Amino acid sequence: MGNSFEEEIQEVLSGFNRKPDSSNWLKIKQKLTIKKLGAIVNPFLIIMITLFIVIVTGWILQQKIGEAPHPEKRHIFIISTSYAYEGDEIIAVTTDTVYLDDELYQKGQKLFDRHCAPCHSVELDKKSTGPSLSGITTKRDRKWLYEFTQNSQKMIVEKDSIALELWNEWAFSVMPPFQNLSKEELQAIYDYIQAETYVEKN
Amino acid sequence: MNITDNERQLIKKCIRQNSKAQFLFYEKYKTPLFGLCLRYAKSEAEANDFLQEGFINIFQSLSQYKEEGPILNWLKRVVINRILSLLRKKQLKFDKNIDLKELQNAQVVVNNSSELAEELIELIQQLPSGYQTVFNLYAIEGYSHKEIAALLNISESTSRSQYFRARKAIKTAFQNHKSMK
Repeated sequence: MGNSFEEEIQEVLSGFNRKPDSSNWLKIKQKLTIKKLGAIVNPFLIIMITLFIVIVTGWILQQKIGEAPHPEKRHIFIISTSYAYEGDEIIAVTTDTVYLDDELYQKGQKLFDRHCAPCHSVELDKKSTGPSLSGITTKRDRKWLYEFTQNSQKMIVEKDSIALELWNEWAFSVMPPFQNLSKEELQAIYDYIQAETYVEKN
Repeated sequence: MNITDNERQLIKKCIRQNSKAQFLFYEKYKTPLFGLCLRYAKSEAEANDFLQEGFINIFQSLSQYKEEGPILNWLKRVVINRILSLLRKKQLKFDKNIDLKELQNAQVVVNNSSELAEELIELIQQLPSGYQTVFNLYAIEGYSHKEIAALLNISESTSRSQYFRARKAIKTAFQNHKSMK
């Protein structure tokens, strides 16, 4: 009989009983609890994260909608400037209507007060040593403004038509050059002017 | 062999993850399943691990039990599948050149030597892991070589030759033991 050996050992083993370690049940229970927790925690986490995103998005949207019709809250405004460069040179500047945050506004205000306010006003049609800068950002493009601010004399020498006209109009007095102002600082100053103009008009 | 209503109730509670029911279920089946684990393990500690992992799989898949045949057979199959997946991770060796001569003449030291079954299990545990698994699956569980080949990702002829050599070694050693009694 070919299978006699297999049958024999199956029979020997059939009556075999041995108790496992008594600690086994505890370990099984622990592992089952971990798996159970995992099954609960995962969907729970996903729900929490989704809720969080929804709440935060809602909050941000509410802030924006809440702020938009109240321009008297001066520190959130409508400016974003983007530049197109060719090498180091700015070749085009565009401004869009978005929010200017408090920090940028204050930076611009500080720089304006220090460098520009001695000669210029941002109030409409109020002349002092130099012309009012109210609405200047809509009259001239940013590239021209930045260059003029950094070195107006150079532009007069190079016979820039607007620079020459201004020079005539303001009795041949020359605006001192602000060559140490960086692009970011110039941007902050003109963003501030644009924001102030917006407040005045609205 | 139909299962009783009591048993059916117990299974339902286990599926609902009632931990008292799970404990009763474990108590009921731990002994025969531990015997199975011992045959596949190299040590008692490993057998305990197999049993724990096996029961976790049992509780997780108990809802799939369709009452086709005795529940113990189904439980054994679940545990064996779990053991095989653990063994596959350990890289079973199916080396043809392992010498089984030593095993044939092995003096099995059994603490509780009255049990013939214990001696047999000790012998099986001494087989190299690949031989041990094939031997268990074919001789005791009754799987075919085709099934074993698929389960262990080996060829049918490997399964056959492994079994043939393991059988010879176990048979010789076992006969020696019996004759010594």
